[in-house]
Amino acid sequence: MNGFRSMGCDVLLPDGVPLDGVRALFEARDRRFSRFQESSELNRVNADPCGLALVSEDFASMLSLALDAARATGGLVTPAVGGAVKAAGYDRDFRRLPLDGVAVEPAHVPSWRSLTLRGAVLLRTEPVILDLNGVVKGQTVDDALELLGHGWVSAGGDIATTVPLVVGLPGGDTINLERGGLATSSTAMRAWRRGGVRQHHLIDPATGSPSTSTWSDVTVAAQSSYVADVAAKAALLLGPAGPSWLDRRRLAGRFVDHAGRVTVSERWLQAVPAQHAA
Amino acid sequence: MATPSRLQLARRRLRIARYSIGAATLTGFAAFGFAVRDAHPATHTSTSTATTSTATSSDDSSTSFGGSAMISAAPQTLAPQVQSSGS
Repeated sequence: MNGFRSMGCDVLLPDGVPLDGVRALFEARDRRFSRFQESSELNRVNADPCGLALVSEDFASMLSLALDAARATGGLVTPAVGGAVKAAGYDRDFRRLPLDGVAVEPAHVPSWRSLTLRGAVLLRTEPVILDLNGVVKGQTVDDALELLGHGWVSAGGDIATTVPLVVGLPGGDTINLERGGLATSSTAMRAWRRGGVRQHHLIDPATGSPSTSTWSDVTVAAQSSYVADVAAKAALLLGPAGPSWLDRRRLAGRFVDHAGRVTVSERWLQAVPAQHAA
Repeated sequence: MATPSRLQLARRRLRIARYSIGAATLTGFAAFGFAVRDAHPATHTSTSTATTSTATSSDDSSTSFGGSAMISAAPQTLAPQVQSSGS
């Protein structure tokens, strides 16, 4: 398979496609937005988490997308979740994360409305530790496909394509993604324990703790990988209300619960009728 | 009506002077902020293709995030080319 590793996941492209440009894009984004690279711009901004900060245009663009996502999801997918992710124990690269440790407490998740972006000037009216990973990977997949012009790009479950692509889904089903974006959000991956209690990276802003959603995996097909990723996270966090939330947005979604049972949204059912197993 | 003493007049002039200095400082700070922003190299160079917009406080819109990809059933005989296994 043609690919490389970046942002903590495998990035895959069609065989024979040159990797250099896409790899450079992923690595540049990782250097700027990583929570685990000390010199990243994200860490520079988070070092002084309140008041004014001057940010680069790339940073402002990504934060703007993150604020769009927060607005579109009623604050469910928010860039203000960085403090809570860290409080849950996710404080280093996942491969170096201890499997268990001391017990952790939920953290307050500030409102995304405490963030105001005007051009390159960011104002935080209360202390906010930013985490832009909710949008960086999906948007970078979209940007990589734009860089290629044609074909497909996959990174850790986020996919964007201009050509038909057979995609494997959690639980073993497959679909044909003809064009657009597809993303799966999962609480089954990137999980660890603190004080013996299971933790994962999808924080519910209402509780400041890892989500206790009824779903373990949610896959969404959308116009782009960025939208699919954000919608999949929101639908997972919404629990039983997830399918209807997607239906209202005319998005196709597939939900897998902790027992492995599959539920699909109306639009998914229309496109892939055989997979309805709710 | 009593004529203000020289001391009261001096205090009033001092108060006006303080207000003037404060206003001038605020104006200068704002101008400095915009100048710094314009001068910042990151304001003029970018490799990003993501769009920039100004944050507003409008509420969730059920139509702003829609628009599905085109998906269909995959032939049973075809193995997946990629996996969307979650992150």
